[in-house]
Amino acid sequence: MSLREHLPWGASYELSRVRNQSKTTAFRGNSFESIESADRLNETLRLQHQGKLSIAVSSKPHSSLALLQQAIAALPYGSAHTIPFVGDSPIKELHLEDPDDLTSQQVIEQLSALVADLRALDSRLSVSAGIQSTKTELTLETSLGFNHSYRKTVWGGYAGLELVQGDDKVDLSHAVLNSGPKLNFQEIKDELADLLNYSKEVVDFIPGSYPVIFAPGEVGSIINPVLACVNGMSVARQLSPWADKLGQELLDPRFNLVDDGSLERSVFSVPFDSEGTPTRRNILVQNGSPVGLILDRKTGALLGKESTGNASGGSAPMYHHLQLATGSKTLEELISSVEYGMLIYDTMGSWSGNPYAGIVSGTVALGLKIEKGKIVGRVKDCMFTINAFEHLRQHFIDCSQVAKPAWNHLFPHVLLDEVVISSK
Amino acid sequence: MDKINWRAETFETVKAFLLEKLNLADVDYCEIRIEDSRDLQIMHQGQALEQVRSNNLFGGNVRALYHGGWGFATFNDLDDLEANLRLACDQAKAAGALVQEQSQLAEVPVVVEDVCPNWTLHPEAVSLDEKVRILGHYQQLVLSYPNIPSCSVFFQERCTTVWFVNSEGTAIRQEKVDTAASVTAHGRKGDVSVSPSVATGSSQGLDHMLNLDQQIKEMCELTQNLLDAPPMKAGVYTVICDPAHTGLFVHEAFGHLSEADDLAKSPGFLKAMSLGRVLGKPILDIYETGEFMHVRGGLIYDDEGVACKRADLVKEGVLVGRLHNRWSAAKLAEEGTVLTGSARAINYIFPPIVRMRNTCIGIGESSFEDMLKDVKLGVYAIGSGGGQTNGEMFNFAAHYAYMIRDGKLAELVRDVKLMGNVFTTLENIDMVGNDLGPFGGGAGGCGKGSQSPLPTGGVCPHIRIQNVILGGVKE
Repeated sequence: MSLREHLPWGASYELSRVRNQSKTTAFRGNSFESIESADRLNETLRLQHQGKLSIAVSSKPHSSLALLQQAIAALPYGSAHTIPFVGDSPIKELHLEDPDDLTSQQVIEQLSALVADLRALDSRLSVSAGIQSTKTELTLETSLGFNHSYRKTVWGGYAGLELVQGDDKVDLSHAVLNSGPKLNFQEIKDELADLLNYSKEVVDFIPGSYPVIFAPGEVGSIINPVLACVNGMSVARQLSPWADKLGQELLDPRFNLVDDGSLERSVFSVPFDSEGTPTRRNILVQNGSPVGLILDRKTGALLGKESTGNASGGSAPMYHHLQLATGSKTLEELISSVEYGMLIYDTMGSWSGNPYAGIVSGTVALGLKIEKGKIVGRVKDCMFTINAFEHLRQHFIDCSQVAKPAWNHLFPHVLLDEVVISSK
Repeated sequence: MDKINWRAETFETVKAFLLEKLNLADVDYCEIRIEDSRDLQIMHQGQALEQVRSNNLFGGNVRALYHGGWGFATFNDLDDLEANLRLACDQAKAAGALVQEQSQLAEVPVVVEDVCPNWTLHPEAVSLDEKVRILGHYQQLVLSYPNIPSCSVFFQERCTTVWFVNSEGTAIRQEKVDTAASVTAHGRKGDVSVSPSVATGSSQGLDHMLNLDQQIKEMCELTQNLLDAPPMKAGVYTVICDPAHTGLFVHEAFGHLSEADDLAKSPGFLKAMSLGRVLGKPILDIYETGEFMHVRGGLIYDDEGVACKRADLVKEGVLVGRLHNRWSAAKLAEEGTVLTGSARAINYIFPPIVRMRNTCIGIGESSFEDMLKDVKLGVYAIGSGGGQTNGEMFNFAAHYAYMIRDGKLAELVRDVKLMGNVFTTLENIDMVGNDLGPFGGGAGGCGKGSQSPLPTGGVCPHIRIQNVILGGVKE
């Protein structure tokens, strides 16, 4: 059914339909647990009329007309933003779908083997593991003639180890993603075996300020204030302390950060964002200077700029796939350069707080003590604190020369000096 | 009966329709949950009304158990119920073939009930116009203060009709409401940025958000002072937590650790958390309940059709109970286990897992002055800024704090985060206040697995904790 014939005169719309179908097979606590499948539909209508914008969402199939009525009812209270909806334009082809599949039996066999291999590391381990496949179909149409769709598949495999020794509990986990069902379980096994080896013994740590290496999975925490400051929403809303400092060298000149949602065969790529703007490579920080923002059509319009293809469907633009420039040393060289410090793999609560203040602080959930250039054991019951703006400018020592994927990031290990560690 | 007009039919007709579908389930146990929710979100950002968003979400799921293995399937269209019922049953059979255990669920009474709590002010009884006006007023109030160039005012309501039926004959239709509002001032002075907020929420209406002027004015005045306040210095301190911060503390420090579905899969930690273990001093009582409808997380029946009741978790410092779902209660089979309605799902996309509702510390005998007077150097932590736990260790943030020096409240400090370890921090609670205040508001909630944010709350007193590690800048 066409929405056009039911639109109020002079109104424009954008309608997206997203269907996610996922299947999750899981082992937990060394035993098989469940097979779950989820089929989720979302239709979102954005309606603009007489300078007002309203949004209506429904999970009911074929609900466009009801959505339109819902959006019309909310229009008098809609926000007074004018968003230039996308018109018809060519879209770059991206190969995001892998037709290969696995039967339930094949998934169970792979997971059984993974769990058995991990349990063989230590008989005291409680092992969890799972495989999830997700198929996404998105169709976007606007009253200005845009009508495109894409499909993508994402496969994820994960495993977690829990080791309890008396009252001491350590949790280790690792995940891999791929656009197809070939998942790198060897990476999971190697990573967890290494971490387990270093984590069995708990050692003391003297409070103070030390060099700390942040593993790729935690680099997102320490650069979170940077990400908040180059989000167009924070600039448009005067939240970003960098709003009038773009182009100035605010961080170490070796700090280079890019977001790219247009890479071929990346599980984080999409041909266009939730508003139909083609995705692209966006340089955010170059040689320590913030030079770019991520923008959607609304924040772009507010700032007099073009959208960068980062619309998320939410209230602020979002990153697709962040990449931080690598450094000059191997991880082993970074570790051997530390006389007394820590290698942090996992933290808790680092995400909370006000990112625009720059302070990042969290409980060290998995930290390894480095003494005289060697890992000597696991540290617990301590917190770390940095001021990201200050530490990424004045105390940035180096990065590893290899970057590793960590969810939607590709980050190297990052070594910072003067990280405050508080403990008893 | 193949088709049904969902909203127009009587309780008896829908019940008969769903129970008839369950006759197709050839497994040990099967349940159907269907949700029809109307959501509204209103957001003011900076000077503007940023977004008015209305969501109509309808969907359901089938969960099946066979020989100890679970299957679960979701759908958006009631026409797909039967196909998904068969899918969930097939999945359960495939899982059961691997698990090969006897299916065990703790016994609960069969309930047939149409449930509608007493609302104070149902959100749908207030016009959108009025909601936008009230929130716009708060926005203008915040922006009238100096050094606050921007603010965020967020309101959300969710009104849900949930149907739950199972193969044992339980059939419940339950009306639920969750409302939350937060008003955040984004203060800035030079390079210093602060974001204090007022947060409020309820499970019984939206009266809580009607008269926030005084709280917002106090927050805006606090913002001016916070902009001149130093950041917290790292160290180990005696900490007094206000009721909201205590609520966050007990949620992270202990609540998650009470969730028996996790413990049942972790024999090592279950041993460390044996019932009867002394975790705190005799002044410490911790309990969980769904009875407090004036905060978020209030609930009548959980998502397994079990009535919500109070669960005593720690009594006089001793671990006495856990939060269960039917599976974990049967699996652990601990003496004295009572099912208290703690199986919750964030929505129809997910199966129910063990979750908190209202997590509380029992009222004590100490006055605030008593807690303060012998603290040489300490911290008075205020507000709930979010937290996280891995079971043993946890992290919890305050909105702001005052230093305590020589028994008196001293300077204001910002950027306050604390951590603890369940096996030492609960023992270090040496005073419990003789007051109570609510915890749980704003747009956030609790996360577990991929189910976040689930509305939770609580009612707690002030508490005092010795030897707490705080993050912060260098001394």
